[in-house]
Amino acid sequence: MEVAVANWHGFLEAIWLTLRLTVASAIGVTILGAFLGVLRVSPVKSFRKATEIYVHAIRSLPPPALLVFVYFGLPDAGLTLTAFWTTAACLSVYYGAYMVEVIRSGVLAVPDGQVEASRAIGLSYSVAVRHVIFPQAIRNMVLPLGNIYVDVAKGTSLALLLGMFEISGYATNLAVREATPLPIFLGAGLAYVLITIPMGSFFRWLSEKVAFKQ
Amino acid sequence: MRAEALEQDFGKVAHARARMIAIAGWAIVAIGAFYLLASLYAVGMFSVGKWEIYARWSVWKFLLGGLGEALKAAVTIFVISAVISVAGALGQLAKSPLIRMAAVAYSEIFRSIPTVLLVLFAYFGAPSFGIQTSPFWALVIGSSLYNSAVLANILRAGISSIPKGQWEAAGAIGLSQRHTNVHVIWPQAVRRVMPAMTSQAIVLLKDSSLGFVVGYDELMTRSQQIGSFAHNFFQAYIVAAIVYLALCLTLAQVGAYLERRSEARSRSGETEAVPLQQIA
Repeated sequence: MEVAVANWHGFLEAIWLTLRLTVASAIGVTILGAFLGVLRVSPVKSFRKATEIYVHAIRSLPPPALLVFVYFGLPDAGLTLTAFWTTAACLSVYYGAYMVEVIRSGVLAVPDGQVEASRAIGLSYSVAVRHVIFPQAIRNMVLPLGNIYVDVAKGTSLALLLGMFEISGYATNLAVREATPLPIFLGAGLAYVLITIPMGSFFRWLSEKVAFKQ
Repeated sequence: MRAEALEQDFGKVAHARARMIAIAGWAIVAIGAFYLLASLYAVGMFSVGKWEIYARWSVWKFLLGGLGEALKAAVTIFVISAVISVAGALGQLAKSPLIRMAAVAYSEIFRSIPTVLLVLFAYFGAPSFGIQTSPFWALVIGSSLYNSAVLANILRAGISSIPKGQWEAAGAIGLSQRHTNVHVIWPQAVRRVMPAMTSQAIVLLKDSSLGFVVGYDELMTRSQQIGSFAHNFFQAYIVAAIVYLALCLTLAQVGAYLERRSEARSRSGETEAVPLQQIA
């Protein structure tokens, strides 16, 4: 156990890097996912089809392959990103695809009758979307969206493929150097548990708080 | 709500506006795609010399061999995870609070830790238990810890979704506890979670690429070797991506087919799939 304690400073730095990566990626996921998600449920058929193809294609790629492609492959084509931004960009693209699906199923869960009823009382398209569909759909999305953010936090561990010392990378490096891997890996695992379980509980709480009470 | 529901009562003006937006959007995409392809062309990414290595059968044999290794790992992981997850799901539904807590803790903890860390732990940490793990088993152990936790939750959600009346009916016709589970509850539960299981199987297959961090000789590792041999990682990773894409899309199609077939077989409403939200 002494090893993990003696290196507490390095561990804290690693946790801080993981958190920064998580926030940067989560912002990217939200922007990209919301934009493409709106296209996925838009009244323009060709946009719906194109985003559907995007989702299927991205979800068929392993995230590690995306990361190494951007970091080691794209410099050949003249685009160089730092390890930090490579990770953030790849996680945004990958989990953005999952967010598109969350938005689609959130909207799909609102009954068709809601639209018909809004049209029947004379609401316009934009009013119906803003005041009838959106408030119901967004409540369906809170929990699955929270799961995506948790996955993003875990996904930042892939930055170790690019030699970054976030929690996983730091722990592996230390474990190999110090030859006492057990406490170090336990510490790293605990750090992830302490990050992701409160995140999950927060989104569960939030989704119950915003739910419509019948 | 289906997107079509809104589109359906569009008037002439709204349709015209939607068409204008579509044209403008696609124009932007076309310009972007043209710019991208032009800049890739300018740095010679499409030159025949960079790609000709992929016209050789020996290169493909090497890559597809790596894919075979990835599949071998994925199948092993799936089988081991499925077995553990049945125990996990039964544990989560057990009467004894101690067993229930242990099973829930197992799922919660291993779902919270990144698979890559579990794989690295299985590789570098196992020697302190006196075991030497090969890259293959490090990948299988690490990935199985995570996937068994996820599958256990999926199965548990499937069982919880079976109406109480099924147990009561089975009891009423005199089936024992064991027969109720084996012949009534589990077949329905498994059918309900089929879609979630297939998508987890695809995740698991993609995760086999993590074997690359412990040097397991699979598709990712091999495409990197080809990339460094031919001095172009760009092409090497594009080819690897296409192979993964083809495989996972095929699997997704197979999954969709199985789902349709089991839907056709079962009577209406009986085997509604459990939505993913309920599982997580």
